[in-house]
Amino acid sequence: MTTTAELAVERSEPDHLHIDMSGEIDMANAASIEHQLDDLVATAATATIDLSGLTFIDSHGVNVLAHLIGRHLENDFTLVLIAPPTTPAHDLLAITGLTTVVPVLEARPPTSSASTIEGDTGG
Amino acid sequence: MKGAAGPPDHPVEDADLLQFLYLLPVGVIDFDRSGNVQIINPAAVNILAPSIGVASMFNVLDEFGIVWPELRSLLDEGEGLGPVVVDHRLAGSGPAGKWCLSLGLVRVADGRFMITVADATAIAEAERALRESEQRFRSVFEQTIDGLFILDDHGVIVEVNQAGAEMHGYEISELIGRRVTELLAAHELPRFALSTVAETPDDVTRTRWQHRRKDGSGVAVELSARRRPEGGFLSVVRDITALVESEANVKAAIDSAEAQRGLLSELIDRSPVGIGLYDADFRCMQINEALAEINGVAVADTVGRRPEDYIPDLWPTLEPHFRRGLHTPTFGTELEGETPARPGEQRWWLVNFFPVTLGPGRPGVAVMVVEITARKRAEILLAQSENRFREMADASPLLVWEHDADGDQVWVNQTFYQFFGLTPGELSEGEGQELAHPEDSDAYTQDFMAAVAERREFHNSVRARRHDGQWRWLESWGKPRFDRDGVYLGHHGTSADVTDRVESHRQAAEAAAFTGRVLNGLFAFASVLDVDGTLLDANRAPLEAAGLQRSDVVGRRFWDCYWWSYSEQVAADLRRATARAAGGEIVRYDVLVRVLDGALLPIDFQVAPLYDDAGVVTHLVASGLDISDRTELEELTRQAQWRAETLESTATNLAAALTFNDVGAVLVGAANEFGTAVLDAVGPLGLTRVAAAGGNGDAVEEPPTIPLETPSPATAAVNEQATVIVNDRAELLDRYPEYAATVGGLRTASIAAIPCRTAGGEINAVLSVASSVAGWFAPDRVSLLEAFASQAGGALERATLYENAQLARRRADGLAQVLVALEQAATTTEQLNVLIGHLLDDLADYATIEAPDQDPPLLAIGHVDPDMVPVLRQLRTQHRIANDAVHSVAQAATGEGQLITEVTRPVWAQYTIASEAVTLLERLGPRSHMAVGIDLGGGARGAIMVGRTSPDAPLYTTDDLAYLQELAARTGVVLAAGRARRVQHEASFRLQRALLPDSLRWDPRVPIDARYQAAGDLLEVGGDWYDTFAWSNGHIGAIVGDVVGHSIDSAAGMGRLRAATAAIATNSAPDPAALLDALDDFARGPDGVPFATAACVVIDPETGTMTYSSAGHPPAIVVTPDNELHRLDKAQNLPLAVLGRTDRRSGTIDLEPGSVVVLYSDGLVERRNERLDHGITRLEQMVRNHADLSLDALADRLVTEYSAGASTTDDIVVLCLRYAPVVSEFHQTIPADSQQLATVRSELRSWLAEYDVDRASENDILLAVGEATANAIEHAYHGRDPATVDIDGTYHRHHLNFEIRDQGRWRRPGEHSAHRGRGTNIIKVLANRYDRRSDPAGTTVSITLPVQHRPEGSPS
Repeated sequence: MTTTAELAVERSEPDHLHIDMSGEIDMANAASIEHQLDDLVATAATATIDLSGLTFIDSHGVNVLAHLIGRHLENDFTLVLIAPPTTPAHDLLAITGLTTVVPVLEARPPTSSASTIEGDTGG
Repeated sequence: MKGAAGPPDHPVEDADLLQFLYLLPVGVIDFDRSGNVQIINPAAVNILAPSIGVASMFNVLDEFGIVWPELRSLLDEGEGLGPVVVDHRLAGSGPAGKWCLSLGLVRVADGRFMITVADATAIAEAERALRESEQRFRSVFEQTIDGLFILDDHGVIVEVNQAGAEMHGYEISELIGRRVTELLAAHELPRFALSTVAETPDDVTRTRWQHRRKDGSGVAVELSARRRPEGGFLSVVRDITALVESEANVKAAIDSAEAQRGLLSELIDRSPVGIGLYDADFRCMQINEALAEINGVAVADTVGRRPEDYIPDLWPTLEPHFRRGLHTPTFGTELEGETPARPGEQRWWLVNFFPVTLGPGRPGVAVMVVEITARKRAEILLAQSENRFREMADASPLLVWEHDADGDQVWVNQTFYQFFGLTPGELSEGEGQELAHPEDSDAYTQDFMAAVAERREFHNSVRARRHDGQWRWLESWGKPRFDRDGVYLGHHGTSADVTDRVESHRQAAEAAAFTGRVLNGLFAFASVLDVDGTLLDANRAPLEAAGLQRSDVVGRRFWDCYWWSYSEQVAADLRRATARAAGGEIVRYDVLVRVLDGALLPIDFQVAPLYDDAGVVTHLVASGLDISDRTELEELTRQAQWRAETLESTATNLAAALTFNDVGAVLVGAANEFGTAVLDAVGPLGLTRVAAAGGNGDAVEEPPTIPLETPSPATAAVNEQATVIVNDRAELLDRYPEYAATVGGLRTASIAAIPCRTAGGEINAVLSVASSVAGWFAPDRVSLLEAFASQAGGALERATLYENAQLARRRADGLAQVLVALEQAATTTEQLNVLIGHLLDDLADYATIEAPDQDPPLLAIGHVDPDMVPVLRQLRTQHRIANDAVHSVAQAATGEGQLITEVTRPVWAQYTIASEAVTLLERLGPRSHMAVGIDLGGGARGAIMVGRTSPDAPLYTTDDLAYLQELAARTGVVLAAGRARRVQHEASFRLQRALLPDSLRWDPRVPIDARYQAAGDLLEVGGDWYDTFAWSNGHIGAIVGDVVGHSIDSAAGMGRLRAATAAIATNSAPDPAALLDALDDFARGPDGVPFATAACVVIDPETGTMTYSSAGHPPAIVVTPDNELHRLDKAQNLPLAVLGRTDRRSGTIDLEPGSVVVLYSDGLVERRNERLDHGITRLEQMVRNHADLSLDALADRLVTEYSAGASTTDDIVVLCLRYAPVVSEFHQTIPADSQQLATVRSELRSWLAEYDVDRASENDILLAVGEATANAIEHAYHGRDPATVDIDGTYHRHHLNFEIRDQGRWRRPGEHSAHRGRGTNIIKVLANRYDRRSDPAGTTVSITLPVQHRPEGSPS
């Protein structure tokens, strides 16, 4: 049995991405996920990553997200995470302090309007 | 002086000890604070004789005074027992060579010491040789005129000599720690590569370099370097400035022009370097004085000749260089050989050859020679010396080490590597960090670093892990090293494996301490004799003991001395012993020695020979130890033994005593040994005599109960809660005149009154022992009596319980009877009357059964005096409503029972104010009253009320209330079944249901489930039953039984047996055989059963130990978690009620956690036309097939599978239990591969699913365990062979424990694993406890995680 995760990508505007992650992330597939995300967001200004579908995520997964921000900080890149309260990702983001560096929403905003997202995270 | 009549036997221990001391390879000297020697063993003599020349030693302070002056003050300092000095070194030289002693000083008792002596000569010798060799190397190193550099592998200067420093204009201290490249001129750096300098120790390279002085000026050097076997390089740097300058000048001059030939000649002549010019035929054209001198051939005799003519011996060596020099310059060729200048002497030169033009078309070769013989010799000497040092060091048994000024290790010898089983590479990579024992490591390192910081000598010990994993004691001595200018270079030193010495010192110290304890304060005799028996000296003890002066005995024949002259026989024996000792024998025997006032003291005596080096007996040593107290000890031992035996037999007899009276008889019988013994029980009214035994013919009277207020020794013991001792008649008369005047007290001079206590500390009786002898109750007698009393207290308590148990058993019988009678009664009224009748028989003077909600409420009524029934009826009918609260029927019917222990007028007043009611109550005259609820069927609740009126009847207790409740509950089931009569089978069935327990849960560690199935033929009613019990010590019991027959009688018998079992079990020991014995007693009683079988097991949930016994019942079955089968047939006994009482056997089995135990009735295994054994085997197979099922499912399955295969003719009971101390465990071993993480999660999820763990808890558990596992995979195997990770979990109700274990070494997070801390932090947030332990075997992370469960019934 190996660890598998899937990324489903929606591109609402050319530089606005919405990525639905599902499956599990751990040490076994973190590097590969990081690679895929890196490619996806290379040209994006805003990416929303919805972690609701993850059934497991550990510190390696958190590192992927942390590295993603660090790497694209220079490109005016905004990362928004979605982790509803009952999901595995929700508590982990709080424990690891990632909520202090990335905006984490409890649900996907009703419309995929980029301006809404930016408005929510503008502070 | 008891036992002085003859020499007693030696106890084995003393002889062993002395023999041990005699055989001990370590010397032991036992002495007192004044230094007087009491014992010295042969090893001490052997070691001391050739060293400090002591052959006999009487006083250690005299003998050691000079060599160990501080010894005296050591004796006076400090107080504690144990080692005072561990390793004091004494060294010197004697006729046999140099010696070194290692001495230990131990305080074995106050004012008593032992010196342990070990020969350390070998170690000292090795240390000294090594130091000398090293010094030789050092002096050569420092005195060599060439620069000597020792470099490490990276080219850092570790050491440099004075010449090397001066050559570069530095101080030594300025150079150490610098890279050798810093000495190179800048333009040389690109071509410098240390690794190309020399590859092996044999490979010496020689190159020229331009070095830079401190002041920036240049210096030309020739550098030769070789690799040192232990790593790093030894480099010889030679200043060749003069040579190079002269080369340059000459070359320039030669090259410039013929015209300057004059200048050239002058240059050549004045050069300190030997120079010669040769033509193409190697004829000498010109030669200067310097070279002529080297050659030892005058200039005039050289010019115009060829070298082969004037230095023929050298020519074969020179010729190739000359030929090559004609066209190619070669510099720095090292040549060796002899010249006529100094024939027979090996010399060395450094020679340059280069082509020159001597004129047009005249090629030639110039030769420049520098004599380097002196330097070369020094270099060879250095190499030899260093090699010798290294060989010496490597061959040394000692670990030799060298540290630099920072305390870092720079060199160790081969022994060091071998000791630890390390290679130089491993050591330099820091593998040496974990060599020291964790307990010693810090202190040792701190001391060493302090020695480094303070530049002082270092001496310390440390336990170190040898290559084979053993911890060995290493003792290290280190010294600071300084160069000639006093600059500190670091520490060097040696370590020795002193484990054996430490161990022998420790053994000697232990032996010494033991000997010291044995000997302390005893008389010890030691004297030295001539071979012919003349006394030369004796120690102080025998002199003082006999009141003698030394002069009284010295010079006399030993056997003529005062000590022995009391008997001719003794003197003659001694004379013979002396002669045998002179012949080389050690003679040992017990003898009496005369001391002051003619008293004789038994001693263990020995005469032994002392030899000189040639093996000739020179002296005799007579020694002896006082063994008189050994005799006393033996007497004490005998007494102690008698006491122990008496106590033991009393204990055995007490254990067999059942009743209060039995216990009393045993006790006074034992105490009678000491006088007239009586035992009085403590009751509410005072002391009541239980038993008495007359001593010394005294008559013992049976007194009435004595109130506790009466002064007597026994009442005082109760009131003061302590033993009372009177040892004097006058005191007895004074304190207890009433007692002293009784018949028993008339002749009493001494008396001891000792309280007996229950386990809870309550006084339940007093043992009094009286004697006509004054002062009789000495402490040892009292202590023995107290031991009796303490045993008796427990026995009396047990007897009380037993008597209560008898009552309980009687009641159990009664209960069974009434249940049968109830079933046999035709109508409800009849049933109720049966019940009332039973209550009046056993429990009450009056009884009523009432139902407040029914009309009429009074259902049944009875009184032992039929005339009183109307009174009671009037009270219960006419005043019931008015006195709603009276005897609170409603309360009793719905709630807890009610107990009014003593009914008084004030109590009546609480219930009624009606004067008529009071009158009725007065006529009824209740003293004690109870009421409990009862289920009357159809949802109706009622109450049973009982009371006692008889003035001498006991008052009700809580036990009585409990019994009434039990009775009401059991009978209620029968009543509740309906008041109409049913078919007999249903009645039996109902009875069975009524009698079988409703609930079997006692202990979560021993879950139990059971099934009863009635016989298929409705007319066949069985007698199978089962029950479970819990004892107060936590043991759990289960029983399955079968009363033979298929009728209402057997069902009733079953009911009686079960009721009896319930009553008996908790009042008896948790032992199945004892329980079956007690059941047997009941079964044979008037209300017993004709024939019954039963199997019983008792489990200790703490340990899993299960005892079992069977009375004619098929054996219980155990199936282990490994599906292994045990048939418990080792304790098959006779069935119940067949014969007289037999002692039943019981068997024991230790249940593995997870084992299943199955008890059953023969209905489950019996089939027509089949042997019982086949049936059991078939059942066993069924149990093995289904052992994994839950108990509930297992019990069902066993019943169904049986029913499927047979036409049932018997009823069936099956009882299953499981020993489950830990509810569940998780285990997984995975390869250290991150791909396994998903598998671990999946396994964890399915494990957790069994426990209704809630979603959030599950996620936390997966996360924490996942992080720990990932850490183990990622870090523990970094760069190592793939291995495995073990994950173990245990489930507890409110938490889980996990251990994640790998076999790798934990490394601190490096740069590459910056996020590792994040994983660990996550674990720490989630876990209640996080712990990580690393050792060479691997790393174990332990986590405790809280767990929450889903609310019951919610979906998983």
